[in-house]
Amino acid sequence: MTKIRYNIIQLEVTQAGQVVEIRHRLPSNYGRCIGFVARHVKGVYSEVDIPEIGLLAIEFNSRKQLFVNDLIGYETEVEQLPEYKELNIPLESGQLITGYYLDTQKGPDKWPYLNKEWFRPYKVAIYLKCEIQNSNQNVRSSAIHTTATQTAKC
Amino acid sequence: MYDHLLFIQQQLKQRNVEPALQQFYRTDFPVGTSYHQFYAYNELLFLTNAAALPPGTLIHSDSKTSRIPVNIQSLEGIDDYSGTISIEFPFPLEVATTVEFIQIVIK
Amino acid sequence: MKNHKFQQIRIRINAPGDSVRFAAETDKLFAKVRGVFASVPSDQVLVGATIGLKINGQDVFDDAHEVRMITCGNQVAPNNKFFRFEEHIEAGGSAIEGRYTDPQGTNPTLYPYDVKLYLWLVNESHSDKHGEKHPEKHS
Repeated sequence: MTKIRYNIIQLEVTQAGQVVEIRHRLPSNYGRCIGFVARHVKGVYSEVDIPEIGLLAIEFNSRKQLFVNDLIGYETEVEQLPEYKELNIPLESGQLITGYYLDTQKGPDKWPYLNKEWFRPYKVAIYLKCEIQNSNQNVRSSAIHTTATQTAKC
Repeated sequence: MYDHLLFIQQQLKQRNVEPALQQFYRTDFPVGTSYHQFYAYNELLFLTNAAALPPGTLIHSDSKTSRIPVNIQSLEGIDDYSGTISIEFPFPLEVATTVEFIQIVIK
Repeated sequence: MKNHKFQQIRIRINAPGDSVRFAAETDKLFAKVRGVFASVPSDQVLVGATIGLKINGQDVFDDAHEVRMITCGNQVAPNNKFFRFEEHIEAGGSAIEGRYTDPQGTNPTLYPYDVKLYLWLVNESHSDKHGEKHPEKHS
């Protein structure tokens, strides 16, 4: 039975105008990438939505296929569920996902690369929705709880 | 230059890219230039003289984006760019500058 | 026999940056988990909050999965609020494990607060058996 997994690529942007390289390896049992969402996680603060804070490109299978060129924005309020954009990319086992994220936020100066005082570091996450073909369960923890709802601070 | 060409050949082979044409491609920028945009769809442009560009220069394309670091090594700068390519200098050029690429037109 | 149930799991967060493990069990009268929805009391605690989830030993979300990916605002109709699973996720008394991690640096006056995780449990495997008009949002 085909199972779906969400693989997350996290990027940290620490400088205005920074180019963040993406070099990521998916688990070898992932057979196909069927969707993606890329979004700002935290760090940017604004009272209004910002349509673009950066640009993203993702190539699959060790630079054989460029499939994603996207822009990342900032939302002030939670509205709709984020929708995955559709892909249909067979994944070659063990190959790299590569690409870049470019911060394009506009600072108060004409040359933002030289003056970075306004800038605050932030994080971007890329969610890749992938199918795996085998049905082996991928257990992360050996502790299976059979009790009723409970919480435990760790 | 031998290393550059070898590297490019290996890259094309690894990525199953079959070249229809390989040639040099130069663009000259006069004093005062701060931004330039051009197109390279269905082709790859391998930058060969990254060290000649001012540190902080942003080369932005659909497939690859780089900012030229302060101490760049010769092979380190051989990135390839395709699609819409823009070159943004950190400040208006004070001397005329030439950007050199090896252009690979894809079959 | 009922075909739908919305099961709630509450997770208490006491302080900024808390990382809290939770464990529960699905109602054994329902066969499948169709979707999930997370509710937090303020958008301020949502920015950067993450949740890992495992149901019946099956990884559903890694720990770095943002809560924002499974929630939406009040203006969204209740039937469309849920993040729907495309694959079959077994309910029927399955063990649920997870970890909620609060983002650090948010407003301290918001604490403590409860995260409410809603699981949409169903008995039918095909949505058309119930005459649903809403297509799978994440297909």
